[in-house]
Amino acid sequence: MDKNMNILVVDDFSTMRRIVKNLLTEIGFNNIVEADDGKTALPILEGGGIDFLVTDWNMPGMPGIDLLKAVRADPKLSSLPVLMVTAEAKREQIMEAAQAGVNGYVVKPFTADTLKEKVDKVFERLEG
Amino acid sequence: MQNATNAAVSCDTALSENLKQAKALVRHLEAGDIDQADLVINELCVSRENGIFQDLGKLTRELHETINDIGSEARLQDIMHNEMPDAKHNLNHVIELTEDAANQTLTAIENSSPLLDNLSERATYLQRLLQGHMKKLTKNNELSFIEEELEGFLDKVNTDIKHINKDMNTILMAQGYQDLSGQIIQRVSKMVQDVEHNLIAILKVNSYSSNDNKVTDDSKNRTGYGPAVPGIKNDDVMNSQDDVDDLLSTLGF
Repeated sequence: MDKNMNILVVDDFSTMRRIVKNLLTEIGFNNIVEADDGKTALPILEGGGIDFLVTDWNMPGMPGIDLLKAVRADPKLSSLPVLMVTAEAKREQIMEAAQAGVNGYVVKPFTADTLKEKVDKVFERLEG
Repeated sequence: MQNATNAAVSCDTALSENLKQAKALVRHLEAGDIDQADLVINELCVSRENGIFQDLGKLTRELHETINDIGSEARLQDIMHNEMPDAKHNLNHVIELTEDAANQTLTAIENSSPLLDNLSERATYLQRLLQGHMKKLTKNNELSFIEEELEGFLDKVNTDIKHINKDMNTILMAQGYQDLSGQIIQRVSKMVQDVEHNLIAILKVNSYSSNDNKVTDDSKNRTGYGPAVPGIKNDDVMNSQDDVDDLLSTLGF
């Protein structure tokens, strides 16, 4: 896992973005950019250079599940690892995200350990 | 009680009428008089349809009256014009307050964390320095107590910083409440807005059907509507001085 990778954190609540950013910094990642919903995230992703996407589900404008589907549909972005961090916890939703090709799914409220563990797992699977 | 008796009487009349028609129908059918039988069947159908139309009319009237009552209810007007917008405003304010508090907490954590890291690094550096150099200096036993004190202190600094970092992490994660409570409040706020829209729709239905209970906007009454505009139907607007005088006279002028 390259600690210099560029990570995009997408959440409509600035508080949650800061929390996730702090946790990622603690794990050792330092190149983190933020967006407040799918609509603002997509141009950043299309601009290139993002190596890992951490996104919420429930956001105004463009929800995380649509962002995930847009990423998978774009040939340039389709292999981008995506971790969902969300309060949406319905069975069908998690299944939908899985079918759409999410790499990990963290349900809010979560602990620092859970986030670290899931981030590790995403990259273990990709590298393994 | 009187109504119930009336209903029973009208029910009995309808029954005996139906019985008469049924007997006539059997008679016509037995006689093979299809035309007459059809006539009786039609009569039966018409009487049944009339009942349905009467019931529908009654229901419509009741619904209309209920809607009128809702519209003229002062409490409901107050809820719609003042309390609903206030509720949305209040809920948004709660989101802002919790967001401010959470952000202040996060800023404090972000400021303190590097200070703690720095302290921890300095303590570790001093520990190493102590092990490497102090041993030589404290061959003189009179100073060895300082070395023990220092070593003990630096150990404590490092273990305490670990504890503090753990607690800071708990504080950091706890700020997630702002996101979760905010999402819930946003949903309630959306619901208040939907209820408000539905209420307005009901009151609009009422204002089309009854001019007496037209929704009035208190602030507009105060600041004024401007001159009446031709082509815009407004039954509340007086068309002439006579109308104004008539109205005033009913008020005792």
